[in-house]
Amino acid sequence: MTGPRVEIDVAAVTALAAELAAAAAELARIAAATQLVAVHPAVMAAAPRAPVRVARALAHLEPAVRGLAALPLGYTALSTDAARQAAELAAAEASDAVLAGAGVLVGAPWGIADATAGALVSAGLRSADPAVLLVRGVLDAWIPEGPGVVREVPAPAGTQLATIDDLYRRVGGLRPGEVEVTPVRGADGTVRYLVLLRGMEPSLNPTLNTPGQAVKSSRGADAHTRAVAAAMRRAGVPPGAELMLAGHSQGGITAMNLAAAGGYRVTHVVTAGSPIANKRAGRARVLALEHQGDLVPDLDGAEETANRWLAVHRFGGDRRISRVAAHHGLRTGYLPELATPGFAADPGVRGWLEGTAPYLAGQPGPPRRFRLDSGPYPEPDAVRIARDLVAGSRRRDPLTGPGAAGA
Amino acid sequence: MLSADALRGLARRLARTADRVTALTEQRARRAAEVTWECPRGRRAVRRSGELAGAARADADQLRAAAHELGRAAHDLDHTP
Repeated sequence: MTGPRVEIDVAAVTALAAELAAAAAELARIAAATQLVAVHPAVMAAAPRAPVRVARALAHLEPAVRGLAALPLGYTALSTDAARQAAELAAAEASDAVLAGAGVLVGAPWGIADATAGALVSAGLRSADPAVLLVRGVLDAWIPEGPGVVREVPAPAGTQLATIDDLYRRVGGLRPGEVEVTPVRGADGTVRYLVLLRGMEPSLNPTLNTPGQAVKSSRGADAHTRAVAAAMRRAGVPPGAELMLAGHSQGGITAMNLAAAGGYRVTHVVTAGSPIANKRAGRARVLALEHQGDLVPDLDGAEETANRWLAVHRFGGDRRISRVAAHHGLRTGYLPELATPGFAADPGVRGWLEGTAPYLAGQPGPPRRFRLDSGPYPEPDAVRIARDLVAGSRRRDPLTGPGAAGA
Repeated sequence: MLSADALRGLARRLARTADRVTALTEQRARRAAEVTWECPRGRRAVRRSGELAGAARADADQLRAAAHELGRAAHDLDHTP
């Protein structure tokens, strides 16, 4: 038994998660209501007659509104953290090292990356705790989205990507927020493209590979998908070109979104550790790789079921909660499997590989790599109006505005 | 003065909101501190909760200041010919 000794009252943690989620929701409502004060007709009517007071009031109000609008996100992060730990504990009670009856867990299963917290919580408690549904709702509402922008970054020299193993080793070399596009000339002379997408970034910062963005991605078109499409345009991928997409985790979700969006002929998609059961990929053939000890593919609450367009390769029998992070990791969970005879012999895998020769056996051109970003976030209208009011009032302020005494 | 009264109403609303934010924040901060966390992630959560409480207190102060200024604006309107 290794790891630190941890003593946590599961009921207290779960209750705290519910309270923090409720606090987040209430702060969100307060922030929205407070924004409306700034544009209240009485305030607007008073502005010309008491410009200094109104300007000062709005100057105080604006940072308060901004702060209040940010607090729900902070509380939500906390509540997901707390609820996730409760979920881990609940799962660990069934499968991991728990001293029965003592309420003491030895060998802490705190290995799950922060990145998956926002999503894992719904996997752990989705059927048990309505607070979690609230968390998801708040996350969805309060993760803002920009338009999705790209900038090119240097790409390492290309190599022949001849196998699924090669594809994912290359995906593993992508840094946070990066996507890579490689043209491949097939034996028929046609240029097709390989697009590689990595998983999300382990933080709640406002970039694209984040838990919040993953929640957005799970709902459909999103800034991440738009940014990848923009990267493909920057890479010179012409409309209607044939594509193969390979993604890990959130990258797999985005690959499915791209395939469903149209505009390109996505012929093949391969995902690793991605919750895609509720996605449809047009006419693309999809191969889903799922480690049985990886919770992430289950986050959509549905089982990926093989059919004529979807092949599923499941592997791994270790369901210990303490190994979830390792099982979800590309290098630790998925790449080892891709080199095994069992993977190569899987009829589903072999079936998916049929027709991939133009990509995997073609002549690759130089890869191009792009860093994706959300781009500028839209500002709430009420905040913009309040700022304009403040600016307008300041111009009329006899103490500080133009023409003021002593100025 | 209709608009002065409306301003006073808004000021009261902002002040009540500030009090609510304060109460909500203090309550959550106390609750977070009550839970026994003996793992790094838990300690981070408690620390973050404290930071959020600090930010919320500052926001509540801003709301009170805004309420005060709106009240003063209402007063000015009362005395504007």
